[in-house]
Amino acid sequence: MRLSALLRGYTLALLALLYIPLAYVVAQSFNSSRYPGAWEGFTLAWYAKLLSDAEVIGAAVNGLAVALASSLISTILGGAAAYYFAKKRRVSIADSFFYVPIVLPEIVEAVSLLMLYYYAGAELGFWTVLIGHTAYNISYAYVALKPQFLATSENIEAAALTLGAKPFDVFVRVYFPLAIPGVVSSLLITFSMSFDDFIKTAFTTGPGFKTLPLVIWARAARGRATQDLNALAAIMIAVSLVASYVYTKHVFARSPGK
Amino acid sequence: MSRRPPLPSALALLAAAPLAYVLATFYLPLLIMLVESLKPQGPSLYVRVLLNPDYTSIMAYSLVLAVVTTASTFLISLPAAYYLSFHVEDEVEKSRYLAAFTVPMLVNFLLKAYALMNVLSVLGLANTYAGMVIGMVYEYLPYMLLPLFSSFERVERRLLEAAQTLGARSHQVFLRVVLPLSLPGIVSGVALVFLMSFTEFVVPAMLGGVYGYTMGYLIWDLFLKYRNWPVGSALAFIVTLVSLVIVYVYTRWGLGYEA
Repeated sequence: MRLSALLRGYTLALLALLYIPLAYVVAQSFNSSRYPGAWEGFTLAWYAKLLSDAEVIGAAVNGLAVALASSLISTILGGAAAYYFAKKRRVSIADSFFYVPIVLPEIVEAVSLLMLYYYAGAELGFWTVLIGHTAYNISYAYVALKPQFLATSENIEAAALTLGAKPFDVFVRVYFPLAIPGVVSSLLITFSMSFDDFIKTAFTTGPGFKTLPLVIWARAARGRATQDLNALAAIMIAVSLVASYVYTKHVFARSPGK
Repeated sequence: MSRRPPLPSALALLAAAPLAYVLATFYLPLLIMLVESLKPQGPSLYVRVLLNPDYTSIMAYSLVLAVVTTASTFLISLPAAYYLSFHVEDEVEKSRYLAAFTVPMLVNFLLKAYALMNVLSVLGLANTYAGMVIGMVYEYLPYMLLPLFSSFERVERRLLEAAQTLGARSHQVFLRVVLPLSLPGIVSGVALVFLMSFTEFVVPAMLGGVYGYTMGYLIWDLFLKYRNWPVGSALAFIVTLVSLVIVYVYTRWGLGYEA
């Protein structure tokens, strides 16, 4: 029993340590002192400053555009592959084909894509970033959707066909609705992979096309933490905490325990 | 069961699009990278790179950092994973804990490093080796904890009772029953964290100061700063091979794709 209490304290402390840095940034973003540190009073000035920061707004818009497009394209393409290979069964080579882009270090993908673009004579910017993000996002969509398609029983499909449904109807009215949880996770995962991406974006973007991670990188690398950067970080942390809370709740609600 | 409707050929065509896309934007670039590394002087460039102490010292340094990170992450997450699996009875409470550990995983990597930079500067640990390791552990903790936990969950509880009945003390039960049976999760967590920390770029660059020059940083510089594509490609290709070996270990002895 004493061991259990000890372990409990340890686990809670570990959790606290995971959240303290995030909470610290959020708290500091409301601190009126010029640099993060001692508390000098509550202010929203850093957020106001952020709203008039053209570079930040532009980067946010760029990131949203790329992430939206990439999550849609990759969920459609990855979903098509997942549906096809889920129905074909016993094709582990297809799994490996889509699995490798997930596990290969991103720096390798980034430098090799840079060379492809160079030899293809592509102009670096929105399109090259979008194509690059979608390259690994297809794999994430495939991984998110294949189990969903596999879980749909063939008996259901046979029943639909017996009742006179065309193969296309079977997909639209049987497989797709049953796979909606997978579609939602696929869209969420691919969106956040793209929106948060730093390394691949840094290698495949051109002058003038920046996303938020690039802005944070450029400003944080310049020296120390600043308050307007903290405000930006606080917003991004809050958004991803809420999104991932909703997502995790949904995942753990689906499969209790495991 | 065997009466499966034939796959319409339109569907095969549809599946060809993602295959072609990934081939063109992932596998083809890898091939270009290999060709680029062989262009100036064939395979002898690899020999030169592997004999050049400038490169090998950074490689060794990154390996050591990856080992330190992996070992620390393992030791730090082990008691928590153990507690969650063996001491939390209530399923709802268990999934709350799990969610709490999972949620920060989805916060942007760069942001977490930045947030930690704030705290480390207050503690006077910014730009130190210790600070960098803390940053790595901070980022990778859930990737170790979750596979460990799910492996612990699969350990048959009756075996523990049997061991206790046969007179094993609790630490013996843990070391000689629980740990060996949890090997797949241990392999998964270790392989995953090792793979990611070996080429990690953001955390060392942001938190490590002069200690932050790792393999990922070297490749970054060879491409964006020195424009030495052949050597950069050769190093990236070596990293690719190392990664594939680790992934093989992961799929062969770890928890597999599903985990």
